[in-house]
Amino acid sequence: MLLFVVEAARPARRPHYGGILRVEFQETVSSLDPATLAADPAAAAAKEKLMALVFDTLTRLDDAGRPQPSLASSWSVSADRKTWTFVLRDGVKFTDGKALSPAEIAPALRGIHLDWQVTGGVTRSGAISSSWIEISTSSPQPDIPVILAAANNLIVRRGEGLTPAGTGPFRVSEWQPGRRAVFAANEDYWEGRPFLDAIEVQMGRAAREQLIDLEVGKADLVEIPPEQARRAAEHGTRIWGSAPAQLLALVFSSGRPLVEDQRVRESLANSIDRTAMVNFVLQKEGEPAGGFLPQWLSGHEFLFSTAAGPARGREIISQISPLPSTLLLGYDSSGPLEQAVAERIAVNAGDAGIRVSTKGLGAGQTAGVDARVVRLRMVSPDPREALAGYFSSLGVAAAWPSAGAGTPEDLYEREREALENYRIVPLVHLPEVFGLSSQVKDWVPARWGEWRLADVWLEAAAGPPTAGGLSRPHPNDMTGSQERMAGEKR
Amino acid sequence: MLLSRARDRVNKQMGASRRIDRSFLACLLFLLILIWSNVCAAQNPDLDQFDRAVKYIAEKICTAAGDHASMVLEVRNLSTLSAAEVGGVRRALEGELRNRGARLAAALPADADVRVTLSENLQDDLWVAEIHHGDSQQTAMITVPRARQSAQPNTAPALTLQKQLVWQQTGPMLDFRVAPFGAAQPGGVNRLLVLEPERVALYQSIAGGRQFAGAVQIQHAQPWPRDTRGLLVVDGERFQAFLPGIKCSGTLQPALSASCQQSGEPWPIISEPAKMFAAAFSPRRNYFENQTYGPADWMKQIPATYAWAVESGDTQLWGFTFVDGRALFALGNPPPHLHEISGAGSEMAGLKSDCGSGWQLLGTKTGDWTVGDAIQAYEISVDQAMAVGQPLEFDGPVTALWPSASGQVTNAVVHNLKTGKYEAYGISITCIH
Repeated sequence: MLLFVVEAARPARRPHYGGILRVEFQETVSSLDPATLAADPAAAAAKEKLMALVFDTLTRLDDAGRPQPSLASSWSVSADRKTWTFVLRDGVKFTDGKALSPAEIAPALRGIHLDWQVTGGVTRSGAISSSWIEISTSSPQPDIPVILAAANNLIVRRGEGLTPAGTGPFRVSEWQPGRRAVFAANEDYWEGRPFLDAIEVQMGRAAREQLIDLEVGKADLVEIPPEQARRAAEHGTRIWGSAPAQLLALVFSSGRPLVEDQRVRESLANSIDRTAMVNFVLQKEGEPAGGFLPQWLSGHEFLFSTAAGPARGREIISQISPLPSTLLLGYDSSGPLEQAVAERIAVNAGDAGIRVSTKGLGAGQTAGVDARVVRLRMVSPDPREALAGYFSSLGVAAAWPSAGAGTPEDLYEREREALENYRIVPLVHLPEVFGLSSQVKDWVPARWGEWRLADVWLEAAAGPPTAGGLSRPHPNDMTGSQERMAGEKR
Repeated sequence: MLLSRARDRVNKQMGASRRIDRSFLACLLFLLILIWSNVCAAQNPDLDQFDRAVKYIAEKICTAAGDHASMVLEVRNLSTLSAAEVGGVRRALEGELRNRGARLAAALPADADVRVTLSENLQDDLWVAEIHHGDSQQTAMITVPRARQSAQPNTAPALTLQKQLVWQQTGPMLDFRVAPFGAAQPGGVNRLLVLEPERVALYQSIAGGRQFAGAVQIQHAQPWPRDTRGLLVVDGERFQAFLPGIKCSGTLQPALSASCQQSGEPWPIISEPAKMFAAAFSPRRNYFENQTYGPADWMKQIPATYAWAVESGDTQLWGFTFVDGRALFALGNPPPHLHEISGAGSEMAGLKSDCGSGWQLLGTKTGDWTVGDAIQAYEISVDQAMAVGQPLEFDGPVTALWPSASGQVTNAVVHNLKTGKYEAYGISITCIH
């Protein structure tokens, strides 16, 4: 009798179904409801990653940041670019069994975008019907498909449960707010069931704990602080880093007498040695930032200087009399990187003749300091949306061109204007870095760090059950009698 | 490349026009060439965009520097453009500036100091001009659609395995078949049937290229599995398309047509009537289930597999890749032993040839779909699969490897990670005696 055995899995190439991906986060996510915002950028990033497992958007962005169909299968725009019509994908269901319909989407989008007029309906032509959403704006909006791909436009269905239903590749099967979550594969996902059976998420794990868990095989996907990435890689950890998609910036406080003089701000900005910051504090995991947007995204960041000019800083400060007293520089006390950067700034400033002392700040605390080191997250791989996100986070009022995205020169001008008064000083662009177990296959996140876990599969996942009791007692001996059921222990 | 490619295209067209009968009047010929060139330029978006960018940047420079200004022009590259492409941009820009009356100087002093940076962002190339004129500085930018593509190798060097690029497209491709016309049709003309997740498309060979000749949609009530697979079987003017849980039957003539329905019918591994051998494909997954239909009972015990290779001769040689990652081969019916094929991935097919035993196994490499792939030929002895010849390298994973009806060509679908396109290759073996 011919016998086959299911042995330990070996490397294949075609995706393999099964297995549980074990993910760890430092942040704690208390709710998956897209309507509740996470104030902290890191918490918001973690929440977005989890929400993307459960919910879809009408459009999504491809690797070049261009909008592609998602829950909307196609779209069209009027000649004046004020009215967009999105055709909804047929046959899509929420995980609670309800069909995707304009009745769910239109009110949700109206609630998010108060200046949009959103209507929806169903058009029937013979036996074929198609559902659509129409978005009208008062001024031309060429970026609507890009905007709809953002996480704040996730499509949800609010039922009786605590977590709204989604149409995404996974559904919530266990939710312990801020602690643990399990996401099970959505068997009926419109793009095909994910390869993983489930994703198990542990929240609130410190970076060191995550790395240990990865090393001892208790986790498959963990966060690694950028400044620790090099050391982890040297120890043989499998590392993946995004393109720089976070910004560390120095933000001067308004209404603080010491920094109301622009010359003080300019002097301090000139004293900062960003290259040394990247090389020593970040261990070369990052890029000096001259602008808000990294070069890979805007293409024009090289126009903003990142060179240190301590001599220029000294020259400017020497013109101020009397010299300003000690500036107080705040940083997020829970962020070791922010602290290291703040201390580096203090050293650079001292070299330029400016006295700076540093102070750790609690969550959400902004008052009582002359400047802060802040970490900001890029909200979109679309340059305009990303810049708008930074401006929104920092309270920068910018006059955007009425015609939407405008030209590259418009974008550059908005950025230049926001930097010219030295209220905000970009420091470094940071990547997101993750550690992966060797079992994780087809790990192809977006360049800017967005996960695509529906495509991931695990090499060690058990194969499907093999009916018929097939086993092999001895290598290459197909006639023996030592049969065991597949999955039995030897 | 952008420039040279576009210009080459125009030059070829111009060259073609020069071959027109010399009895034409010279002025008429010149006019024709001119018109032809303009038509080509108008139809070539690369050239349009390139010229538009050159003109825009030159205009901005001349406006900022003033009429007939002298200027030093520096062109630097922060993008992935090649040195040759950067040289092309520089030459075009210099020409355009001179056409506008600018005087280019080798070094300062000059009226203006101009630096053009060829940069790029996530989507496009970005050309940035910084114009220093007196105490003022102006900045001009324009995006240029990125059109660079990697070179497509089409054949392996003097190796036993050869690949021929049959077709490429941007969307996913599950299988393809080259279907010759019947005897009534002119020789050398053939049709290409392409199976995609949502349709079967037909292309016809015309004038050295392929022209879309129609498509039929594949109706399916359930979502496809995430890694959708499919198999085409063409028999004369009729074809069958097997997809997970769905079977379509159709005809190529008089027009492409097909009807699809839910079906659990097994997919044919060998479709020759005398040796009918088929395996059931999971409707919700990407593998063959452990239900096979063949001439021997032992086949019913085969666990789930990604791929089968069966020699259709008398030797009874089998190859399997299992979902647990093993690649095995066996000889005999039933085969007494299974032997491992070291280093083989999940795709496998058999190929007839004039070499060695006359039948080789083709296997892909291990890894996942984030890296390039290769097809390796194996010569099977009693208990060993020996890699023969050099592997055939690809710029992306081989997502499908199906034998053709003749058995002398294997069809491979490759997802090229450099271009993002799906490529259809015919794989064959040439012997070097």
